[in-house]
Amino acid sequence: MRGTRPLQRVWEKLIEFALLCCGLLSVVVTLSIAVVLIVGSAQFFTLQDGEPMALGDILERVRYFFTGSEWTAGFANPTYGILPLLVGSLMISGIAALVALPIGLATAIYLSEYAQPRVRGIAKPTLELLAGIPTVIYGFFALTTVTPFLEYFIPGLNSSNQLSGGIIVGIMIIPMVASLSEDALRAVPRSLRDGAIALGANKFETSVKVVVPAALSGVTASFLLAISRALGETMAVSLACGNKVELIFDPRDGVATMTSFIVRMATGDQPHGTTDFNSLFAVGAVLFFMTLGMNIVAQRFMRRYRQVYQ
Amino acid sequence: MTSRDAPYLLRQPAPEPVGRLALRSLAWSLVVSTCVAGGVALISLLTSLDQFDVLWSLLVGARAGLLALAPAFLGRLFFLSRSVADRGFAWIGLLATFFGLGILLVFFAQLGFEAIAWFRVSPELIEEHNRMLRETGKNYIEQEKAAFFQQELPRAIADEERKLKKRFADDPAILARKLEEARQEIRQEFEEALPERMETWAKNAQEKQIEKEKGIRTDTSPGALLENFLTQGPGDVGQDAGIFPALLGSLWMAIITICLAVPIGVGAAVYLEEYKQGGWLGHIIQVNINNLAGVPSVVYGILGGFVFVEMIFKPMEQNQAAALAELALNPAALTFWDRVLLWLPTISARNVLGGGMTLALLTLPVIIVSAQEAIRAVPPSIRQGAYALGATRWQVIWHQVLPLARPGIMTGTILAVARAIGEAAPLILFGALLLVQQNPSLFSQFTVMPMQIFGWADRPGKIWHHNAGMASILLLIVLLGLNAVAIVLRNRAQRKMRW
Repeated sequence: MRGTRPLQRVWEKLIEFALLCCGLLSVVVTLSIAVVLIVGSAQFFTLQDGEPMALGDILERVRYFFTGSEWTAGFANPTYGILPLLVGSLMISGIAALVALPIGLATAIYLSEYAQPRVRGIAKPTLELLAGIPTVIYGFFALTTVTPFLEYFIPGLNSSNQLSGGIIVGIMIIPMVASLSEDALRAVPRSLRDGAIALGANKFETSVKVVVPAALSGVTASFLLAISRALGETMAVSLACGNKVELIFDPRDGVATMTSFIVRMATGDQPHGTTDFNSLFAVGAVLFFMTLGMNIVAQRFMRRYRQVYQ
Repeated sequence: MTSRDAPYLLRQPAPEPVGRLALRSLAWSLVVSTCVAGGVALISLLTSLDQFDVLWSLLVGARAGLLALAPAFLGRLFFLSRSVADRGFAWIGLLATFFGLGILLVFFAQLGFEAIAWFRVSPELIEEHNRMLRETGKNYIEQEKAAFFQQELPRAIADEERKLKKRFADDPAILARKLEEARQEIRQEFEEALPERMETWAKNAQEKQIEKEKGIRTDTSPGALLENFLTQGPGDVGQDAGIFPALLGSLWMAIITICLAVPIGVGAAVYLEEYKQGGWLGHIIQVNINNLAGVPSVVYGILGGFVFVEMIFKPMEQNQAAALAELALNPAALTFWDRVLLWLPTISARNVLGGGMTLALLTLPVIIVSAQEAIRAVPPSIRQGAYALGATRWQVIWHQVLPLARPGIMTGTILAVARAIGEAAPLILFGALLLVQQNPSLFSQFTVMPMQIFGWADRPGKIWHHNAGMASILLLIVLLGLNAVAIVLRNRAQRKMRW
């Protein structure tokens, strides 16, 4: 930089500053998401339809929000306990995980350890295609394909049910599990595999007893990211699973999740500023901080496997 | 070296006694499934104590046992025999890998069926609707006639009766006679008035008929149906509904996303890769971007709904309305901002610009990460060469790094735009809903294709599902087209650039 003209030096500094601003914008976005959710939740906890509440009522509402088991927003004398929505979300994610984790992991092991290049050449674009389908179309499939299919086997299936929503979300996150796990498995150095084979292990034993344990942190990270994605899945779930806000553990019955509740609240005719509407922010905050926590843990796991094998 | 020299080196391991292992696992699975059968029978017996049907319980148990037999056998064999496990897992992996492909095929078949059904059902519904429209005039006359004789006539009679009853309350004989007379009279009046009324009705009916017959669709060929679907707006009549405003809305979203997210995203990527590698600020930004990529899209919707709708555009909308009122009353009092607002087109709170900005925020992490990868792939030797020639840092970036990274950046951008077009959840809070008829402009209300699909799929009635299927096909075609462009770009870049 010594030979450059002063004007150019200023120009360079200006550009660096502008680029820094671009970079910082993402931080600003994260912070403003947090601020919006916290401010909205604060309004929800402290205001009753725009009027400030007494301290005791505020504490009671906060306590009930985290421990109460009834959510009756929209009715007279509503109570706001997030448990039904949380259980709904966890049920859907649980079913999705049951579908996606075994299939995704098996796909990853197959692609990284067994597959010929030709098979990979078919499987990879297929998975990318599966990942590229909009979630609302997945929801449409759940409604028109999966539910009628399940009705053949399962008596007493509700037309909107957790099972079809969970399965479709599971199919949706298979590509994520598969590609992230495969990256982790491929990062395992060849020497480990060679060692196992030299000891007489066959391919299955090498994969399951050596490669997967060696890549365990990466595989765990992929599981966590996929489950957090399932938790945040919105359109498919709100199409397939209905909007019954109750504590339901029967997967044949429909249930509202945190995300589908947000959708119903936003598309309904609730005026802004009412307590019912503001409850959306509290639910959004729980969703955001849950997924954020899982992501942070997953990133940490991911960093670990990258550090070990590089 | 022969086997006699070094037998320990070349001796094959004894082949696994797979047959014996299979027998063992068969025995094991028989024991297990008997246990399962017994357990299930016992449970079903205990849970239906009031009936206490032993035979039925045994049957249920036997069915459960039979169902458990095959998995128990295969599972046990899998654990006992190493070679079965090895070969079996190859098959399991292959099945799992192509499970996705199978699902895709089923989905595409389903969409195909929806499309066929749409082409088959729509003409029938149109015919039915046309028939209703053609008979508008006839139905109108009949309705009016029925109303005339069954509602107006009794009402007139009742009025007259009330008056007479008040007048002749004390003389029942006269009242009865007068009532009868009045009834006759009124009925005759009505009969006489009928021809005149008929004329008016016929005229009205003709007007209505002409009005309604504009809605008649005679051409029900597939081409015309498709044209209607692609050029019309959504409506309350399923077979007449179209996707055009949603298509335009999606196009707007793509344009705004590209205009906003690409410069900012590439700028952030350049900063992270070229300026602040390993610094604490760069580290914070990097971690933040990784976390941002995992934030559910509906949360972005809450952000957009709060910041763009409530904080920015709703006040603008209200100020514009106020300024418009001010303009009529007292133009001299207008401030500069009022004039700016008046100069802008009509602003609605939930508008295209706000939706586009929300989607730009959503796609920002995707664009940053892919641009980072593209920039990282540019070899350091090129930078060093440029520095050696005396270029400044920005000159190196602008003239060397970015042109070389461009294919990668474009691929990432296209994939990000594909994601933005497919997303509906962040736009939910924009009220980007179903019945947006007008074609969107920058500050107007809008809907996008995924929202339209959501609305249609959520609606009861087969035709709406068929419409949703058609819209899904259209959306998938757009997305696959974008993806194909991205793949072509990537391949061309890979072929052209060998460092």
